[in-house]
Amino acid sequence: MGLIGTWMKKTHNTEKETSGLLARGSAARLLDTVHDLVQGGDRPAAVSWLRAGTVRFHPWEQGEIALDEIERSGARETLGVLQDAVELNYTATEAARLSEALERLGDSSGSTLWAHAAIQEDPCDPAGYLAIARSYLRRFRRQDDAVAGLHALRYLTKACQLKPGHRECLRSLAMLLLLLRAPVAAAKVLQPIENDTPEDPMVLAMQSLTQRMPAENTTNIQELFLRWETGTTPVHFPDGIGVIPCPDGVKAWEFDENRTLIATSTSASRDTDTVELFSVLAGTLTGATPRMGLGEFSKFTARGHGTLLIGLAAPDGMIFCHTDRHSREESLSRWIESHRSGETYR
Amino acid sequence: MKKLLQEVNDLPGVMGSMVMTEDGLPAASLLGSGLDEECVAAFASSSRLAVSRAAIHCGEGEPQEVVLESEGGNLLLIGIDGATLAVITHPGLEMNTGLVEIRSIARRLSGALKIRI
Repeated sequence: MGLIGTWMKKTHNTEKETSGLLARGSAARLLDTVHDLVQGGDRPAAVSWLRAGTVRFHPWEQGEIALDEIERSGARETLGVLQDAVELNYTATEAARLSEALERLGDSSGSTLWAHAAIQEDPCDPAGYLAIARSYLRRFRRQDDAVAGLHALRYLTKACQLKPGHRECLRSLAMLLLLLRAPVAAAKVLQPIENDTPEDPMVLAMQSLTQRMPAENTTNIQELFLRWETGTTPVHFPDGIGVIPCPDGVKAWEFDENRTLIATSTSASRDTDTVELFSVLAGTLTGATPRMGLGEFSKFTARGHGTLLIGLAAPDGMIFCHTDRHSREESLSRWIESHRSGETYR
Repeated sequence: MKKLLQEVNDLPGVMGSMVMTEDGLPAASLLGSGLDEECVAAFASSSRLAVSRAAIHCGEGEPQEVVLESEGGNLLLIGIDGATLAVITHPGLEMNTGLVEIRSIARRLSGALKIRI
């Protein structure tokens, strides 16, 4: 048994040992230790440390490859048992376990099938949602795939709602938040499990990251995704905002191509929440339609409860307007079009 | 649910349709070729969420209907009980006529909806 095995038997001195294995520049040492653990037959500990390492040292190709190998070989060995378990005692948890094993073995359609079967078997059990979320999360981590990240978030949110405080759900959610460079949010998510499992390598790795990363200044998850995708953060200057002359009863906001607020009507709110929501809306719509295969975004119209919200792509940004009078859709559309074409005074 | 989605797809100008739960998870979909289900589900859900948040913040509550227009097609998002019907159309679809028929099917979907993922 290697260094980790020895350490795991001790109840004291954990901080010192952990800080050593997950410290900067310790990736190679961690791999050696994992190798020792595998040789010593302690695969669960090896997987646990490698998973922690892939989070702590992300992106860490060597670690990802080693983790893949160990997890695949584990999945191959347990596949038969898991299949038997599903046949003998069909529960959502067993179906989700089989789904995860198949995912490790590269059988994504089989994995999806069993994860959905788990959800159908018990829609209130988070296991199926978590299995799908983990698969997307892995893809997001390894391939920087935004689609996978968005799906991971949806399924994790659902799993966390179904069973608040579920350790695996919280760990995965914290991991996603750290990938989005949101250490403050991740620390909050980790808090309940830090007390339960303070020596869990994954918890230690994530704790370490939450302390090292600069704090994010937003709680809007869509804003975090946009920052992750574009690498930029909009900076709004309250003093430099222009005025848009609007028809009565209409509020308008204009953003530049960097999602920064540049002008509003006099009646439109300029508070931080409003500006962030519209800035996120501009970024989301600009990115969404091309990714769906629909080409460049041009306009949206949201109708509800007698009110109207319209957004229009401008050559160098986006304009939004809102009114409480649904009946004014046509005139408002004409006005916003004219504003875009520069006929309206800015 | 798929039968109703097929009815939507049979309308002229419709390229595909999908039902998403209120959590943004795809519940059923019938998308035409060239449309990636995973991508459409992810970004339709993000768009719906971003529009809804802005609209709710403006004090109007959850929008019942959102129409996204882009150069290669439109995305219609129609609220049905606890879920959203997403319909992708060609850019030239006559929105008024097309929407009336889609709304009618959405109402039937709302009655028949039993979300299964």
